Amino acid sequence: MPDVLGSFEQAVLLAVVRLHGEAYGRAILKEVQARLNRDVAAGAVHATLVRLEQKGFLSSRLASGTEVRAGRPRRYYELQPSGRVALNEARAVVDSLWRGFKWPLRGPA
Amino acid sequence: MTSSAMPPRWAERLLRLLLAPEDREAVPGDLLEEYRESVRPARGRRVADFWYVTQVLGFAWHSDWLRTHVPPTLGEPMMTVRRVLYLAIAGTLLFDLLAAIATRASGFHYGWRGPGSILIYAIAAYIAGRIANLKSAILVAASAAVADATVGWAMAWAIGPGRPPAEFQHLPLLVGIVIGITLTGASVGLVGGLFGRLHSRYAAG
Repeated sequence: MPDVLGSFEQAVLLAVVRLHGEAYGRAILKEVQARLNRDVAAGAVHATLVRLEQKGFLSSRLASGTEVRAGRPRRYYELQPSGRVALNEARAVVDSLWRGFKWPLRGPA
Repeated sequence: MTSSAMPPRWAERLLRLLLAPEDREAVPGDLLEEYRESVRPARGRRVADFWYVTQVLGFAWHSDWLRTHVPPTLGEPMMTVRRVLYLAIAGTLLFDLLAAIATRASGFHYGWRGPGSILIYAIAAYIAGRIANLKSAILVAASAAVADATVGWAMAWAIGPGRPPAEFQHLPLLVGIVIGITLTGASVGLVGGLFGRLHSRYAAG
C-alpha cells in the first residue's frame, strides 16, 4: 500500500478541490488557515504544493498577474486523478481506523 | 497608498534566493498580494514588514536548498542535527534583526549584540555536539556565523546600524570580516561541541 497522505497534505489537496479553478498560492493558504483554524506559514503550504506536484497529485499553470501583485503571475493548481485516488485512500484509512468507535470518544482520560 | 506599498527589498531578494527559478515570480506575488490587501491595511507598515520577514524565514525553514546542501557526513541522528542548524541560523538572523531595530528605535548599542550571537553559536554547538559529534558542532556554529556575517549583516546594514563608515566599505575588507566572523563561529563551535561531547559521555556513564 502506498504512503498515506499526511493531514496537512490532505488539507492542501482539499483546499485545491474546494477552490475549483481559483486555487492559487494565496487563496490556498487562506483556505487551509480557515479550515485548520490556525495561522499557517506560506512556506509550509508552498513546500507541500511542490511536493504534491512532484508526486503527480497536482498540476499547475501560470496565469497573468494583477496590479496588486505588481504584475507577477499567479500559479493555479488543479487536482489530478492520482491525487483524487490518494485522497480517497486517506479517507478510507481514517474510516477504517475509526470503525467500531462512537465519536467523540467518551470515558476516563 | 497601500496598493503600491512594498515589503523590505532585502527580504524579497532573500525569498527569491530560496525559491526554485520557476517560483521566483508567482510566490513573491502571492506574498505581495497578501501584504498589500490584508496585512498592511489591517496592521500598519511596521507589523506588515515584520510579518513579511517571518514569512520569508518560514520559506527558509522549509527550503529544499538547506535540506539538500547539509553534508550527509554530519552524523546521526541527521534530522536532529539539521533541526539544530535551522534553529541556529533562524535564531541568529532574528537576533540580528531585533538588535538592529532596537538600535534604531532606542539607545541600544548595536555592538552589544556580539556576545548574544556568540552565545547562540555556543548553545547550538553544544546541542549538536551532545546529540552527534564534534564535526557537526563546528559546522553548525560556523554556518550560523556565516548567516550572521552575510544575511544578518545585510539586514542590519539595510536598517541602519550595521552600516560601516565609508572608509571601511571595501570589498576585500568586508570579505575579510566575513571570514573572521566565520572562523570565530567555528572556534566557538569547537568549544561548545567539546562541552557537548563531554556532557554526552558523562551522561552515558
